[in-house]
Amino acid sequence: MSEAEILQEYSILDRAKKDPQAFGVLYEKYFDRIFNFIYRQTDDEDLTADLTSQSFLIALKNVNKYEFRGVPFSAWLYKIASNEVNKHYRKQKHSKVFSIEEMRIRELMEQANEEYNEEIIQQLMNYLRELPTDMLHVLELRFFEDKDFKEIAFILDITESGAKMRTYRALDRLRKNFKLRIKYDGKE
Amino acid sequence: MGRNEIRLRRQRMSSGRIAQHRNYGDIMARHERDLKLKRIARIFTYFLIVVVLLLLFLFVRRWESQQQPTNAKPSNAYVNDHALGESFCQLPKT
Repeated sequence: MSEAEILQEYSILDRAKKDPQAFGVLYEKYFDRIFNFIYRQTDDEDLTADLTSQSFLIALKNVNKYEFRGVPFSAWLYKIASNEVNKHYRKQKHSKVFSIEEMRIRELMEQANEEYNEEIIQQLMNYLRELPTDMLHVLELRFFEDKDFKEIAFILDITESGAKMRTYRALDRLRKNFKLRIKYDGKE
Repeated sequence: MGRNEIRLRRQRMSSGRIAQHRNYGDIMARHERDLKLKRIARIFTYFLIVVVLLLLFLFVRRWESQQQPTNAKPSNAYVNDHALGESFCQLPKT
């Protein structure tokens, strides 16, 4: 995200502090991304719609408290959404669901010049099932949402080096199991 | 270790389908409602504070007025010298 875009969003937020209607621009811009982010963690369309609305409502309520911390505004939205999903799972006491898109897996495999077939996919699913939740969160943000480590650290409330370490460890296990050549920055 | 359920989605959700859930008007309405409730709660809190202060004031006033007659009692009180004298008189003589 360019400096100009960040400044533009910041000016919209400034206006939204006085006029909530102005926040609508950011709602339209980020709705799909936040929806997909939550949907990947719930696999339930109606629940995702509720949690997405709730996340934007919380953002609108707290827009006065928002302050720039070196990451784009979207990272703040992701953080709120992530908290809402966690809150939902704490209440329901269910095991967490990660619903990943086959298309994206295929893209990542192609980037890593790996062959793509059902067997590999099943192995990958089994591997992901064994991963701790915090590693899955980092992988999701890194490879499905294309977030950099600074943003991931902000969203998950961890240090940047912690985010790198988690990604590195998860990918290290992946490399050992699958001999994949994906580097931890997502490039081959 | 297996704590999470991993599912594979064959299809990505289309933006048209996501758009069905997009409704900023609803968010605004909920926000307005929340603001109204917050305003009402604030007014109610102020009202409660005023009522409590008023009750406290009335209680202090009442307590003060109850204290006044008991303070004045010593000036109106008298010693029954006669009874005192009698009791002295009835002391056994040695």
